[in-house]
Amino acid sequence: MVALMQTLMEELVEEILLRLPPEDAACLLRASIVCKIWQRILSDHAFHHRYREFHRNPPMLGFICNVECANHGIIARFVPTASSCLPHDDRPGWRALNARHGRVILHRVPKQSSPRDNDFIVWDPIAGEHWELPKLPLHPYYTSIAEWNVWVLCATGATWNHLHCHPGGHFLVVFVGKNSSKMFSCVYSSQSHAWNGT
Amino acid sequence: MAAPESGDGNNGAARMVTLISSDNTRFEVEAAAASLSQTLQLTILDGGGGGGDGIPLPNVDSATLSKVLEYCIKHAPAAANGGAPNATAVDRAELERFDNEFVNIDQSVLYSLIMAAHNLEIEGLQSLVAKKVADMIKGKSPMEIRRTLGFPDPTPEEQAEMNAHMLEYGWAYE
Repeated sequence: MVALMQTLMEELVEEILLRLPPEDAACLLRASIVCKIWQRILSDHAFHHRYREFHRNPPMLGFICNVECANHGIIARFVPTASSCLPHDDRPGWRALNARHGRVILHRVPKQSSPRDNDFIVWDPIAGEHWELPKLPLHPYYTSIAEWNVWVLCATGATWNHLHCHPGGHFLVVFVGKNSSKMFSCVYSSQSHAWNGT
Repeated sequence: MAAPESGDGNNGAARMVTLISSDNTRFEVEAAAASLSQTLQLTILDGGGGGGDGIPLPNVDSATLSKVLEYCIKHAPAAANGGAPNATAVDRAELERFDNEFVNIDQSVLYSLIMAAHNLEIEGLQSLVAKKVADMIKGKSPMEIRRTLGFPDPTPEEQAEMNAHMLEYGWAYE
């Protein structure tokens, strides 16, 4: 039999690949090694944009939870929920604080101390990457901060829906703390790799 | 303004157009059905295809055109209702059943259909065939996909790449 499907014009191959199910990440991954043309289409940013437009509602690939453990104290864990999806991934010693747009902010407390002693990393469990953040800037309020929180945000979201953000794009981390009378905040930008406090 | 009328004045009978396949077979079909093709719609709006003229389709053979028209005739009423927002659940289920059976065909026919749908710009049909091929691919290993689609055996280099991929992304192959 003549390999008709192999002679299909790229435009139509793209139409087919566009319809592979987003909840099955492994399917896309396996398709990417079928032949050079498929590999090129599937690794193209333009295709990624179209794929996200086409499958407007992103599938749930998994969830993050913090697990208590005798050896490490705490483990931030990515638990995949989609069938034939990504592997479990653990970050022993780290606690997940929140997640947005595919990134998770994790923190580690060496001991009971001021927020400045905290280590923060931003983790992308789907890509399996993480970025270490520098220490928070020195500030006189730290010793008296009673409550604080951090959030990770996508910095490339020119559009409200973040359809066109892609892995490796820039992100922001916002830290807000308060003591009995004052508030303190600072923002980390992955672009400058630095905190800017106010 | 001499906008073409949808009827041809023949007591409200639907306007018919003639399509001529690459192997010279003539198909007479309602203009509404043929108009699912964006390409044909323009010609028909210009008044083409009526009478003894016929619209030649040099890229589509009679077997494929017959199949394409089967799809168009079935989908024309829903398309005329603007995607049938007021179609009943029964109508929609019937169309879905038709679609599922329609693409349950040999791969060479799927290939001819998607090429024809592309040439004639029949979005629904192109989408239907693309989805069918995507369904044939999912759940399969790269090697199984190649076999399913009748690709030739991989070169040693391609085979080595596939093996390395499987080692690196073992979880995607479980």
